[in-house]
Amino acid sequence: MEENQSVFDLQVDQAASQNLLGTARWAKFLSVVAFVCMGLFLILFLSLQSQLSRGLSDLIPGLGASEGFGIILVIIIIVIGIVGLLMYFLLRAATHIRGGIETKNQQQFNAGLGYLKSYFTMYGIIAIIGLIFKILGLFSK
Amino acid sequence: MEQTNQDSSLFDLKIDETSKDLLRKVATWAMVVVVTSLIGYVTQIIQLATARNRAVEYEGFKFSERSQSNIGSTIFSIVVGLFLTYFLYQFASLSKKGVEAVSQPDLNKSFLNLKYYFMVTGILIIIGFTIALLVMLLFGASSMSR
Repeated sequence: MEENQSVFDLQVDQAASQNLLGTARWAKFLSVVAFVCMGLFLILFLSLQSQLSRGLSDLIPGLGASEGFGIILVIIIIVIGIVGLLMYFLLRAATHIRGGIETKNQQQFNAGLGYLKSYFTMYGIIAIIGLIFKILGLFSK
Repeated sequence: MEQTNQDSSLFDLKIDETSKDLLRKVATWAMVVVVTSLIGYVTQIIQLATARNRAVEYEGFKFSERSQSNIGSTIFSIVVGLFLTYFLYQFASLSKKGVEAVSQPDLNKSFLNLKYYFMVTGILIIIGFTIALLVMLLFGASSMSR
């Protein structure tokens, strides 16, 4: 497929390389920050276990302290899992695009674009689900 | 831009058929994110408007359900969101145009917009973290002085 390409075809030239390397740098920064934030949030949540359990049992009288904490912990783990997967795709995209450009490796570059596609696909699906809930919330009021 | 195109050698990376296909899909999903974001902002504005109108009357006094700071933060988040959405829209439309019309300048501009999108998001996160840290430090200092 690549052999069929003419000199007039699209290339990752100097300007494209610079822009993609900048994209990869910021994308990597974002994903690393997100991973650190998720870790810190989980640590903070687990360290405040007793206070949160007490608060929940006060808020919902029928709910046991450990039950309430367990439900919230499961929700948080699911959210962290989804966001973690999203950030994993972004990190892989950044690493592969950067590696592909630096070593001029076409396969690695395409793998990076593949991860970027996975990132935006997942982001799009989450955005659609979020929008549905937002609209439902608007009509329920 | 033409100069840089001439500089690239035969050994440079190419936007081959696989890359083109992937870029088309990335652009399509980025556009989905743009459209859902815009609808989301409209929904937020509707929510804001209906909440403002829904004033609660209590013993002859009228109380608004939403505080001024809440309105301000919603408008601020919409403005920032629109700013980010603009870069993502530019990336999605230009990359699609670049791939379809085999236009190197459009493709380069699309990558530049993608860089801006992630850069602005990163800067906003840094600002957010700094503010959160300052608030925590102030809160900690005030609780220690009591």
